[in-house]
Amino acid sequence: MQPAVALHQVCKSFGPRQVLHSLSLSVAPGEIVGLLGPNGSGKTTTLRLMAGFYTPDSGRVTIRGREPAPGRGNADIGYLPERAPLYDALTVMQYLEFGAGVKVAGGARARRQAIERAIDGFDLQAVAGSAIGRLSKGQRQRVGLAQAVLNDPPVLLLDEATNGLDPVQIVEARAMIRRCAEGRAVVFSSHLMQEVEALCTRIVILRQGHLVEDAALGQAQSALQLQLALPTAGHTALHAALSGCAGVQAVDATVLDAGLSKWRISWNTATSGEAPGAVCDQVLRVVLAHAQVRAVLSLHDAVETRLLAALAPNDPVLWDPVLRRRA
Amino acid sequence: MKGFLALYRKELRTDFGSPVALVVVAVFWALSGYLFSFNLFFVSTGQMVTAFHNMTILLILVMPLVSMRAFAEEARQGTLELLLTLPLSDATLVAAKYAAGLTVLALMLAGTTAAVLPLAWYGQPDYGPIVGGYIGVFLYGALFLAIGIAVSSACSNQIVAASATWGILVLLWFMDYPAALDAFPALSPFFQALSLSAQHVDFIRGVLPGPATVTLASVAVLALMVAAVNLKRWRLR
Repeated sequence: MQPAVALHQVCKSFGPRQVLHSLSLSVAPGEIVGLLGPNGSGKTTTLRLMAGFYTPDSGRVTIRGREPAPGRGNADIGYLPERAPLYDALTVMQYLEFGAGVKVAGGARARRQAIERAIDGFDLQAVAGSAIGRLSKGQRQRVGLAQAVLNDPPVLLLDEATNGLDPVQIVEARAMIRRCAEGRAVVFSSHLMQEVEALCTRIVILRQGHLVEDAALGQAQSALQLQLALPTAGHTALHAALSGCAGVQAVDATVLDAGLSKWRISWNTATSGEAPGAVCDQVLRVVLAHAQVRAVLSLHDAVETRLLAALAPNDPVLWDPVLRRRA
Repeated sequence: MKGFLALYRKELRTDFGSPVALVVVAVFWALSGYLFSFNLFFVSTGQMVTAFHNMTILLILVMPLVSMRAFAEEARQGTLELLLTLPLSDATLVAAKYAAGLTVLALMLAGTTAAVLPLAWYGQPDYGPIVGGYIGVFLYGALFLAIGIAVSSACSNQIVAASATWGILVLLWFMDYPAALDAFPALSPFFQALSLSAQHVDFIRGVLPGPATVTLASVAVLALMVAAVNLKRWRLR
């Protein structure tokens, strides 16, 4: 299937700082890709390149197999930047009229229908005549999303679209994004793991402009990691017993002080087909049979484990919850 | 064309949805009216040439306030990212912004036509030079606007954009001073050709000299091209 949007060996620098290093990525129609990574990892730059706001230094960006014409945006893209691009002096209706006037093909009737669809779809009837400057943050975000999908684009790019919303608004926004995603390729950047787990079918993790992880979310969700504080005594026997458990991928221990060690046990049930919870129970049974658990340091699961493992596999500050809190 | 019209309408709506454009137009009308009335009642001069001269000077002051928002404000509030990712060419973006600015300029000048009424009431003015004078002032305003839009496209702060435009316009206005002092004789024709004040008298008399009109139009087109190149620069950052 032809990808809806693809980056081929794309490099991008700002002055001496290279932000993206030979990034290749393609998104098929119907996929919702979560773009993850810490600040400065290149998420926004990637989205801006896809949207045509930036031009790559080298490499190619293709939208539905074609390179966009330089010096103009693309009608196949619906884009909502991190800060919703709104004009406070316009009413919601005037703003959508502007968007439809630029993006919607066909005559006045087609534009009117697109606006009505957007107003109904994003529940904006009550504020259609209000100045955008008077809207709440959640309403503003809805207006931004409505503008992004006005012409029913096959590619939707959302840069931290739920940032700054309260929990109720986040749930509403997720539902709207899910509705928008039907039949489209969606690339969604976020810092929030729950957000990505709730919305995406695939995760792409960037670190310092490099793609370090690209996996279907189903696979990622089967990955778990448990960190325990255990007595150092009986080290070897426990290590052997845990390594023999089905699905367990890695076991390592770090001596914390004379009598105590930190154990990190990772497993992935994507290939074994067992339920992650069942493996967890088995791991705990083995641990309890060999040692007395002093503390459960953390149970990372799914995307968070994936993200931490991809970003800093050996960084004690990222892995240790106590150190993370201190940091 | 559809995109151009949508952006043109949006520009006018945002211009007049904020107090800036309304205040600028009102200030221009008030000052033009004050200067015309002052000349009429205290200097006993009812010539439109004087009024056109005053309007041109006022336009140097107010046009940067009209143009400063064009791109600098879009960059500041994050909407430039939207504009540059919409299916619009850079030329269309610049043209629509320029057309909206020209509409504000036309509105400003239209308001001053009230000055012609007392002249028509008490005398028999020759309307040809008056119409020509208005066209001349409009051309000057259009040039100021184009320069302002070029500057605004390079800035992300509208105060900086307005200040830089004032600087450029004042410099261009007094460009012929070295020629008048004969400081650089070899460069005098160049300074005079670029000077906005050197050709001004003909324009406000409604003469519209061909070469000077072509120069004004060329500089305006060049400025708009600079604005389009600056937009491309945003993408290539």
